[in-house]
Order: sequence, then C-alpha cells, then structure tokens
Amino acid sequence: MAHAGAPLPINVRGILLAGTTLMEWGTEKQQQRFLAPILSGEELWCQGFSEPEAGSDLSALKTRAVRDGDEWVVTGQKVWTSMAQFSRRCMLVARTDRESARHRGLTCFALDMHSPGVTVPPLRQITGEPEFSELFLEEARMPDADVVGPVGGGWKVALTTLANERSGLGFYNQVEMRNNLDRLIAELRDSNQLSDPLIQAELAELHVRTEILRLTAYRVLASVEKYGQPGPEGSLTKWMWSETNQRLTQFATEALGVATLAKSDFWSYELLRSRGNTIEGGTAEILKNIVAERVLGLPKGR
Amino acid sequence: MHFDFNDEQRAIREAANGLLQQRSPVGRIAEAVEAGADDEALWQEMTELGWAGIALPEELDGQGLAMVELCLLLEEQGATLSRTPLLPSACAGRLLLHGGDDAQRQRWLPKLAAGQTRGGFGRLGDGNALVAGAAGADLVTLASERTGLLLEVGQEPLEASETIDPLRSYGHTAPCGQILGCDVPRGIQEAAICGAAELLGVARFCLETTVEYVKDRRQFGVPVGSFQAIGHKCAEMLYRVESARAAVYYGAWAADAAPEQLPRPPQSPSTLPLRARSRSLARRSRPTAESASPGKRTSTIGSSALRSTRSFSAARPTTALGSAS
Repeated sequence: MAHAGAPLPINVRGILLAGTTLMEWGTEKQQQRFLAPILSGEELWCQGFSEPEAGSDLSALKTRAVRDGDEWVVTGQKVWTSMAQFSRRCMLVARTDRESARHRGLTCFALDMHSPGVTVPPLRQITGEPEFSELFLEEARMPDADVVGPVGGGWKVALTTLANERSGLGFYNQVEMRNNLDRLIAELRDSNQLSDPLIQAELAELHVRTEILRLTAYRVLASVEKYGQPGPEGSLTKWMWSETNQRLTQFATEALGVATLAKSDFWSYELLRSRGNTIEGGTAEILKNIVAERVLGLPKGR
Repeated sequence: MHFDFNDEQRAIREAANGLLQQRSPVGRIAEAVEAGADDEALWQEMTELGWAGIALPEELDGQGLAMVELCLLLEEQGATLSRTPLLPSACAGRLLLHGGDDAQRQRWLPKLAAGQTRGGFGRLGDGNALVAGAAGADLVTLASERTGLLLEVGQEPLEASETIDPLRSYGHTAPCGQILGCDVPRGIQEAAICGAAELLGVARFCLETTVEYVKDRRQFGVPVGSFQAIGHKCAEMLYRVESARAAVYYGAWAADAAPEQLPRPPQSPSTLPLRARSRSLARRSRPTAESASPGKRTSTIGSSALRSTRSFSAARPTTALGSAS
C-alpha cells in the first residue's frame, strides 16, 4: 500500500496497536466483540498511554481506575492521544492499585470514548493539523468486561502495544521514506541540480541509509517469522527511520530552496512533521537507553 | 522471503567462530603483529578445512559454495583480528574467477583453493600499486574499476611496504602483468564485498570489546557503562555495526543470487563498515590495531547505489542514482 503512495489506513492504530494487543491479551469474547469492527473501520481506536507527567517514564502515570461493583470508575488526564477525537475506543492504561509501586499496579482497558465523563479537546501541531488531542476522564465508567489482560498486568499489555507500534509502523515508514526520496530526486532532476556533486553526495548518503533501513526491516520481519522475536536490529528501525527522515526533509528544503517554505508545498509539511519523529513512539534517547541496557546489557544508570 | 541464513550457513558460521575464538585469542594476535608475519599454523588449519576454496567451483577444486559462505568466514576472521592471508587470497580468487580466461583460471584457481598458493590484491591507480597480502604471494591481481591485471610473482618477492595496518603484509609493484580480459567489474565488486565482510567483523570486535570494557571499568563507584554518555555511544556503535551488517549480507547475497542488481562499479558495501569501524575505533578507550581496506574509497554517486532486489516482492525497485547524473 505504501508503495502505491496510499495513506496509512484510517484505523492503523486499531489494526496495528489495539488489534494485535487484543489478539495476544483479549478474552475470546473481547476478540469477537472488537476485532471485526477494527478491520471494517467501523470502530477507530486510539492509544491512551502518555500523560502530562508520564511520557518516556510511562510507569509514572497517574490516571486512576477504581472498582465499583462490576464497573470501574476512571479519572485522570491523557495527552498526545493521536486521533482521539475520531475514535470510538481507547486502549487505556490506568493505575488500579495505588499501593503497588510503579508498573506493578497498572491495568489496561478498552475504554468506550462515548462514555459520559470523556472529553477530547484537540491539540494543534506545528503543521497546523490537530493530529492528536488531550483526553480528559472525569469519573467515566467502564464495565469489568472491558479490562484487557489481567488486573494489575497492564504494564505487560502496554509493552505488547509499544513493540507492535515500533516494528509495524517502522515497516510502513521505510517505504514512505523511499517514496519521498524518489520524489526529491525527481524534483531535483527537474530543477537541473542532479549534476551538483554536493547534491549527489547527500542523495547517495540518504539512499544508502534508506536501503539499509529497508534491509534491516526485512531482517526484523524474517527474524520475527522464524524465531518469534526480532534480534538486536529490531530496536534500531524506528531510530534509523526518525533520524534519516529528519535529514531527508531538511535536505529537501535546503536543496529546493525558498519555494518549499510555502504552506501549500509538500516539503514544508514534511519538514515540520518530521521534527516529531524522534519524539513520537519512543524518543531517540529512550531507544538508545533500551539498546544500551537490553541489547548490549550495560548496567542501568540514571 | 527470508532474509536470513540457512542451517548450513549457520553451521559454517558457528564452526568458524569456534575455531577462530579458540585459536586466535588476543595474546596470539599480538604475537603475530609483533612478528610481522601471518599466523601460519592457523592458516594451515584453515586451508585443511577448505576455507581457501570455499567459494570456488568444484571443478576447480573448490568447495562449490558461494559469496555468502565466504563472507561469513571473513566476518568471523575480522571479529578475531586473526592474521592470515584469507582476505587477499579470496580477493585475488574473485578477480581471477570472473576476470580470468580459462587458461588463467585452470592454472591458478585449484592452487588457490588448496591454499598452496597465496594471492595478493591491489588497486590500480596512478603509479605503483599497493598490494595487500604481498609477503609470500605467488600471484597478485591488480584492478581498477574496469581493468584487471594478473602478475605472477617469480623468485623475487614484491618489495615490502610499511603501512599502519599490522594485520596484513603489504608490498608494492609497478602496474604490470597479464591482462584479465573477462568480467573484471564483477570480480572487483565481489572483492569489495569480501573486504566489507572482514571489516564488519573488525567493527563487531570493536563493539564487543568496548561493551565488555565499559561494564568492567569503574569510576565514581560504578561501571562507566551505566552513564548515559557512554551507553548512548555504545548504542550508536551497535546502530552502525548492524547497518553495515545489513549492507554486507545483502551484497553477498546479491553477488550470488542477483549479480545484475549490484552497482557497477561497486563501492557501497565497503564504505559503511569502514565508517562504522573508524567510529568504533575512535570510541574505544584503549588503542587498537588499525587495518586498512584493500579498496580505496571514492565518492562517485553511481557507485554507491545499492539497488533493490527482485526477490523482495513487497519492495519497489529503487531509483538508480547513477543513471540520473
């Protein structure tokens, strides 16, 4: 799909994040209830993880869910919730045990976004688009049947979602980046700049990086198919993509000149949008920590 | 589609790793470097195992395997910094296999495959050519992007050259010899991939020893590897090593399965490990051996385009930059 230049499916978060997580952790009933409307696009999903005081340090989250009979009452605030304003369901992580430390007292829920007490003010990004929102929860009620995975086991469920986010989106992103690089080469050809050795050298660098990302994405895929999990290279694709995509959009605007500053220009949007690449879905710095600690086995530090 | 090794290739890699780790501990490398000579006992063992001819055809007394298997051996050799003629002999073998005519191939390749004969390898440029693996070489292949020469070394060995690479012997010669008239570009392409495979191993060595060291070395009461300033640098080393690995494995695979997909002339697979390695070296706290690449880096854009492969059906063929400029 990405090759053909198609946009991401409208329900990419439902398919890639909620769907895969429900397939691993959901009850049979939940799978029957949720999976079909995810595939048909009838029910869009968003991901209620980040909070104002819990971003990279997700386990510090404060949104609380308290059991009340066969219901849960949830109160708190989420932020940077992509597509929340259009979503019917939210994969929500909340603290259900105040006594347990950090990641132990968390639980995942499939929150109905139409419940009373759920409000979603959109947040406008640097691109001008409100791709994501704040999400306020004021005593919103969720049935017990919408708990995903074990009560108190939300951290593991959330890790499943995050791993699918990094590997799955990475695969789409590398193809999209190739499309954008090809587009840049075509535009530079049209403006007779391809014979400039400085332009050539940078295009070569971008080409090699894009190829390596593609090959690495295939290595990850082969490893997941064969061994059930990616090797060390699995931690690298999101990082490779974010760094290279920023380099690509910056170079495109430098090489193509001031015309790219026009709001209507393809590259002005890409330039602004790409700034978030090293933050969204796990910051580059956190990914480096993960590589250092979990792949290379270096001692944990702060 | 599986971008991964088969069981036989895994077995080869494990066997090579086992042998080299055992035979080539750091102390022995230091000895070979000090002596300025190849590790003859190890080379003997390697040739008995058929490594010298692993990627040469069976009718020329080789093992009949191909570039992927050869590159696995070269990576493992690089990862232990073993001092043997494996790489220059392999490069000479690739040049002869593709660039030589029948007579040249029949005359030299069975001997190279058996390891009785050693090959040297050098780049043709202006003036004299620097030849890697010069000491003890019976034949030397010299090549530029399109021209190849075969120099038979008689009684007189090449004049030795001192370089900063303690892991190989070097010499120099005037550019002379018999013309290699066949597919020289393919030979030099494969030689570049071989060099990159060994450098990938060297980069891996740097990463592995650095990680080991920063877990051990303590300052301020903790291992220095617990500092993010160090941890992030190590993570970046892994990033570069894995990037090089993807390019090298792809290059080796494409050389066997889809040679027309490789750029002509090649450069891309060898530049990345070089860069990864030099960064890895720069990050190491202790000084280490530096080895030079048999190939010279150039920055022409056409040469650095790695093209995509048809077997990756999901992937669209990428633009060949070279045709545009």
